[in-house]
Amino acid sequence: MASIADFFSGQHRACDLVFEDMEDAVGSADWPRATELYQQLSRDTLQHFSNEEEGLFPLFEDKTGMQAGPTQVMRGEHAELRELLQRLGEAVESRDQDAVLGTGETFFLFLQQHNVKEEQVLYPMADQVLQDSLGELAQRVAGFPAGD
Amino acid sequence: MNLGALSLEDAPGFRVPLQFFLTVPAFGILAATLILFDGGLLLQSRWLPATLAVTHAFTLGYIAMAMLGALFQMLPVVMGTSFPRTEPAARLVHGLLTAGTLCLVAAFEWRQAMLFLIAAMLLVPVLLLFAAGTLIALRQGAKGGGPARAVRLAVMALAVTAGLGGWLAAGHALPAVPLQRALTDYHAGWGLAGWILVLVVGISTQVIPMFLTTPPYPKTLERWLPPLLVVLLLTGSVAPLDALRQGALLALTVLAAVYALVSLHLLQRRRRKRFDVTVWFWRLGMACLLAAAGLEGYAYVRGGSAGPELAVLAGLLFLAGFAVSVINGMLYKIVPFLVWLHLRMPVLKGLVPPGTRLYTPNIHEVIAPQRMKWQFLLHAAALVLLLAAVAATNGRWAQAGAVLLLASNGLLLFNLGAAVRLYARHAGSV
Repeated sequence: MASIADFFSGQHRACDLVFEDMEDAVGSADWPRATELYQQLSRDTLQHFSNEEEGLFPLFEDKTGMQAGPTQVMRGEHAELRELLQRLGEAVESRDQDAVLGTGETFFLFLQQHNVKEEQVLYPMADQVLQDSLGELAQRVAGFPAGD
Repeated sequence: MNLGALSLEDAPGFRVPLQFFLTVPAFGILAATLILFDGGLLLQSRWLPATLAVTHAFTLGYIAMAMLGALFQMLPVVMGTSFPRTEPAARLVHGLLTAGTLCLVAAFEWRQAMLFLIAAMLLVPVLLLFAAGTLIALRQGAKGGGPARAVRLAVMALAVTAGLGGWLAAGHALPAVPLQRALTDYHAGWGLAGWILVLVVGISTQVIPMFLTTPPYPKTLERWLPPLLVVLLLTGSVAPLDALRQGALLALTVLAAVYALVSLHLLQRRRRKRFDVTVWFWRLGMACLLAAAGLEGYAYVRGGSAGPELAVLAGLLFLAGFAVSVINGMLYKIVPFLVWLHLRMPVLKGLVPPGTRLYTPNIHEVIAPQRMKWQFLLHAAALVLLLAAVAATNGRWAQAGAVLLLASNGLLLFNLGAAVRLYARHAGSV
């Protein structure tokens, strides 16, 4: 059966890998590749956020009645991550290695603590309360396995 | 489950963990100074009062100081609960731990009965109080999970260590209480294996894969190692048969070595290739744990014929090599992140209009990676010299090692101080 935790955690790991490749490219001053990877990172991360904010979170909020609960906290952290991602993009554009690595480290640490909370608390809860709504989630989130 | 505690806004104030973290290198400096002035003598036997003074400057002043500070921070953000009355409790714990440790170090240095008594009266209650507060907090936060279980076991071991330590201190202080040297092994065992090792295992299985981008630890190890260590320690302490006790302690040593090997292997398979000083601190720490376990194992096999310097060497490897290294490495992950986080707090709390761009230094600007690297090299060099000094019973080397240890902790204090000053400067401008 499709699991929310597996699917969304999988997106986290995929974004981590792109970030790590980008960092390597910046380390070896391969700016064209770094730019390309940054664009992929930005696209995938923002797609993941909207999968959550427009797909998973509203379903979770409807089902649990918790509008100001954990999903609200996660939305706030997404806003911060969007800003960090934007700053990272500016640093990549200006080819400033120190700024990319410093902003990248900040983005990465904040992202990891955010992901842990989603993976250990929010997703397991969502898997419990949304057992009957997986079909609906599949309609809202591209790629989420529609199940049986 | 306290879902509100997921929020970073509920993280305790900047001061709560930082007062502990800034005190850590100060005790490192104290330990280095004691080694410097007592020459190489104190590295020759674990029983010398001067050796015990240095040991407790490390175990209480450096290691427990850092771990208690980190737990005040971690309970809310990682385990979804918080220490009862966090801010005043942290101030009290920090004050009493600092004063008590200073008294204990002075008591060993000057062999003063009264100071032993005061030290025990300050340290035993505060450590028991901390253990109790943590257990209460973990009862309220319903989020179990590996780290929470390990923390629970570790603070219980801390309470046992503190209780035995108090009894030993009374033996030093009061003629009516016999000094039971036999208790020292239990006191040390519960402190090193029960409190320090169990806590490091519980936390590292969580943070190493997450922050250092290694593959995850095997699930069995993550879940069963902390309770298994405690069960073996308990068997090694109270089992009725001598052979059973010895076997349990040997098994414990083997497990510590396995954990070190697995950690080294995972760190080798780290995905991010950028230089990260924290990774090197963990590598050094795990290599020292492996060596300490190897020496302990060798001492079991050799029985009484193993020399007294072996115990000092194993202790030095475990405390200054393993625990101090991993703590030092973690401070370099935690402190810059906390500075950044608390400077962003107005934005995270929505206190500034959305879209406002508030300048915040990035994490590398909080402590420059280059200065952390220098400090790592000083620490590693100090360690090598001190180990060589014990192995060769060479007083000059011990003093040279102490000078490097002093420099290493001085630079750590400078680096952490710079981070706090940067916070103070920018926090004022928000």
